Amino acid sequence: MTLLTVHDLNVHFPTGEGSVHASRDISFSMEPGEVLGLVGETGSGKSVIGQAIIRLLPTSAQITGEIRFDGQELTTLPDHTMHALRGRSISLVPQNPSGSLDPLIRNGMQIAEIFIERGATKNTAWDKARDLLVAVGLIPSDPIAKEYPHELSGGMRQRLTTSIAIAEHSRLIIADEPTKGLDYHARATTARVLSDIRTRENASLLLITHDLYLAEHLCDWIAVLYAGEIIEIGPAHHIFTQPRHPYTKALIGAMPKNGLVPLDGQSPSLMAIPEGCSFRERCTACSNRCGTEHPDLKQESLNGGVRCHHPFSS
Amino acid sequence: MSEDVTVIPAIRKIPVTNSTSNNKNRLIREIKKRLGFQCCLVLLGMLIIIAVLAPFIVPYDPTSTDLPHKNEGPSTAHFWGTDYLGRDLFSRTLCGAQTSLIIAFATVGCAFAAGTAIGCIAGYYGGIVDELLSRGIDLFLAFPGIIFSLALLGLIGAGILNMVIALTLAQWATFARLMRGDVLSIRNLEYVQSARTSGLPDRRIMLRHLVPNAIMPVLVLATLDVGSVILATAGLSFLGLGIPPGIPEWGSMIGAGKEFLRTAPLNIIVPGLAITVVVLLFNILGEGMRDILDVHKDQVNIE
Repeated sequence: MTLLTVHDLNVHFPTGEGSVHASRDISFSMEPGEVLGLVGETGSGKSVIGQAIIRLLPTSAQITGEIRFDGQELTTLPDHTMHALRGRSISLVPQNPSGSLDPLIRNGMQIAEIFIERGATKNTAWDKARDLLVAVGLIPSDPIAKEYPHELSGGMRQRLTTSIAIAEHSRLIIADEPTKGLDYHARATTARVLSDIRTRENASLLLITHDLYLAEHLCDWIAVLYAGEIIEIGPAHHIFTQPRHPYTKALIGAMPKNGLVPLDGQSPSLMAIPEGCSFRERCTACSNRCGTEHPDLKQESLNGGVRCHHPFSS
Repeated sequence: MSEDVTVIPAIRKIPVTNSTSNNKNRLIREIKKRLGFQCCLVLLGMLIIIAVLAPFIVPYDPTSTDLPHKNEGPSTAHFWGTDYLGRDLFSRTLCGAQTSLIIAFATVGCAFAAGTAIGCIAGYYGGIVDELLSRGIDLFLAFPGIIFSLALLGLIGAGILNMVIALTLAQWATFARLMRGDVLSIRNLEYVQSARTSGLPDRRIMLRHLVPNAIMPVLVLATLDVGSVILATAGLSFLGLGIPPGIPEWGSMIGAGKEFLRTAPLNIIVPGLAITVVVLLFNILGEGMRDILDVHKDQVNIE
């Protein structure tokens, strides 16, 4: 059974100078145990999708569309029911691990307090917390549990926040830029921890990242975002070997192993998205039609789609 | 950077530092740097011991009158002389310390607890809850503190407990206002958000995450406030509203002694000096705490 279905999700932020269209017509679905990567450059609306699913967007955000999780419609769920799902069924690995840990609470207690709140005694909670630290490779767990977050390195904090997210065997884990600001070594460990989660917990992982190596390594499916829209979606190996959208192709061409070819220009402002194709101004293959007619996400094969009038043939 | 994400199976062990001793060391180091603060701590310690032990260490009963020896200057029998009814001023001042400190600590304790709780709730929930509580805070802040206590004491009558109630009602709003501001500044920080993401209930978020992280400035205010509550107590008793005549209290001692200003100035000088010294000590403590607890002043941001 499908675990998560997002259908026509739109998120707008009204501001004094007009509306910011952070996400437009986002649709995708995830089966249990699958890893879907949302990739795209900064400002393409990746994080907003994750926050919309777990309902932690600021109250000013206007959300339309459907988000069905395990048969429940999340957008209309009462606040307390939604709050009960957080941490237990859906959890989030936050974007900035350093800021996401309470500076005054010991590392072990950051995890243990979740168990205490669910009725465990202090000792059992602490033991479970130590087991989780071991599970994410924070060894030796005993002294680390007694330390404070500022005594950990960036990579270790990342693992600590990850262990909080898997504490209650959530069925959907949203990892928001888990490798942001990490060095090579820490990135590799994060990748290992995340792929561990997947095999151990059989949880679905929504990986929000601009780290294409991580996405290639972990994901079953990839959705490429550009200016708030999904412009291409498909199985990960297809996306990486036979990209169909010119933007996807440019993105993959910009990976160091593929020659580090940069793409000129920048993505349009989310406040003034041009008519027609939003990638038009940076595209090498555009025609007159691209300037007037907005392309739809064409479901060309069973599991893939591309939002382009002139896709590369697969 | 190499290209593939490789998986590294073994994780290196990291050196372990003992954090708690480091933190304690920092506090001790900061205190060691400040001679004035250390003196202040010692003197306040002595003051509290004196206040607790006052009934046992005073040479005379502070309420027993001795009219033949009234308004005497310092002598070997009475170090600080006697008052207009011949009561020993040294004994009365020591017992007055007990009255003042009980009222000051009780008032600041109650105002601190109430202010912290209300400020935290207002700051965390926001919206209509915040609006209602904030207007309540404004209402209490609109009255000048001493006038408010004065009117209230006129209504409910004198006594130590009534004094604490009247002063608490005049003080809590300041604490609530400060706490609300602190909570507002941290409630949108990521660690509070991620506590919400973990599905923790509001009660735990407030008690374990918001209060410990927002409390420092409120704590400093509380220390400084002890001095001003002592002053307010003395002021109200001076006006004859606070403490019943039977209990020795500095303000009422000055109030009653002011008629003998010319003939027996010790009636006023002794309790007056006591008030000055104690208020000064609490102010030095508060200022010192503010400097010591300010972690930002020597923080280096390495991110």
